[in-house]
Amino acid sequence: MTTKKGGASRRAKPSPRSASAATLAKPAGKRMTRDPVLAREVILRIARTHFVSRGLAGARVDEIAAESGYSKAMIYHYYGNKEKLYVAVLEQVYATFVAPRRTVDVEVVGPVAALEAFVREGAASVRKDPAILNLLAIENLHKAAYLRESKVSRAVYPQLLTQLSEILEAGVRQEVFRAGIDPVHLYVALSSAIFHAVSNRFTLSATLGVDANTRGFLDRHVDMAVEMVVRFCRAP
Amino acid sequence: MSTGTSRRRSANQGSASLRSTKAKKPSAKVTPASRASAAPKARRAGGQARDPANGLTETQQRILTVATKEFSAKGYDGARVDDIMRIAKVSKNLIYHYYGSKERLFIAVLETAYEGLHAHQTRWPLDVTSPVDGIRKLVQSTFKYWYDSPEFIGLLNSENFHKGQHLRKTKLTKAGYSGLIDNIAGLLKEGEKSGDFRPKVDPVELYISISALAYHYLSNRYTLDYLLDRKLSTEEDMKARIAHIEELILGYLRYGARKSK
Repeated sequence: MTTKKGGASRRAKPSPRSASAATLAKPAGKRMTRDPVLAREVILRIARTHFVSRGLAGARVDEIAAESGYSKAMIYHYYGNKEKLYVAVLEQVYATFVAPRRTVDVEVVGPVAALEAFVREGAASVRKDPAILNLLAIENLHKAAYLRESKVSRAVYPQLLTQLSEILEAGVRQEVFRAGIDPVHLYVALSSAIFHAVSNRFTLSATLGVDANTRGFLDRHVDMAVEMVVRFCRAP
Repeated sequence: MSTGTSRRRSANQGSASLRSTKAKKPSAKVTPASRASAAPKARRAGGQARDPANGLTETQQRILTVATKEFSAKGYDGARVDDIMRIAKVSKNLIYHYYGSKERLFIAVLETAYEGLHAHQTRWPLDVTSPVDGIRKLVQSTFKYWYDSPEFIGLLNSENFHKGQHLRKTKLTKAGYSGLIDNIAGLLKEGEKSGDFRPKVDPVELYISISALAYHYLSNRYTLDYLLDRKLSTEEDMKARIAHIEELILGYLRYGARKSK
């Protein structure tokens, strides 16, 4: 989809040619750093905020350039084009979003507490960084087209799902959970129960007479999600 | 808005058709579906009949339909009034005449979408034989509503990128949901009385959870289907999902209820 775009083949490897092109293109008063690692990081961080608030179509490389202090030419030099910059943001999001939960150790705490921790850690991660959910919503607007082109592997979720399966299996063995629960369906359900109130907190607050952006509301919402999920899995 | 002058201004639509021939090249991108939705007969000059249900002329209706699609697919910032004008086959002047600005057009689109939701909710079944049955019906209706409303999901996602700033400028009030929330409160009270449900469940918080369980997957289905390597949106899967949501919600409501002890 984006492969034919201008500058797409340019990669961020420093070469004498591109370095001089970047120097020439740099307007006076712009940030004068030559540190490519820092440049990539700053550009990515600023780009993320623009994509989050405006979407892929609405974000402007001009504005990302102005705010980051790097020239448009530098941005193209490092990332190729706007779409590739967006893909880089997406890859960064997925690197943390689908990482296995760290606080979950079913062997130590047992299946019920592990399942609860699994839900709570997921909720805590998006409450800390709700923009993750906006970026995923944007990618769904594009029917996951950029995700397919990205380096995000389809093998990312299985780690998280394996962790959930292990919790369920331990629960069945210890006769606290019922058998036959599909971990994929359960994962989608528990994600929905904890992510929606965060991703849609503004519209929910504006129309339902609650303040979904407060700690108290979200704490109660997560408690409800935990109870729903644990009750659902419990053996009858 | 400015309904008094719209009849006179609709004479401008003669020039609208001229403009749209000039814009021939970009309009080649128009898909058959969107072309069909832009009913050509509405371009006739002269007074237009208004829809008695919402007081909108056919042209206004068409602008809103196209704008809904565009805002939903591209987000508020990505959507262009130029594209809306071309696809709806009206002049930019006419859009600005009716709506004043891109922002107010978006606000009108949001209002229309929410009014549709609330009108839909008033038709959700009330005549239930038991509170458990009522909650099941509520889950089914909510799910079906979001399943059938991908454009509204797109609009809401976009509006959440903007922290709800447009929604606060609409004429919508919190009363829009009050019928539904009263209804849920009634079910909860009845369920508590019969011993089926736990006490002290907040109807708004319960509704948010029910809506979440339906909305989130539908909103994220492309990334989830791809990465989970499963297509969860087949008809069969959707049925399984509804049953799943019913059990999640009822499991929660029954927890700590008299009958479950």
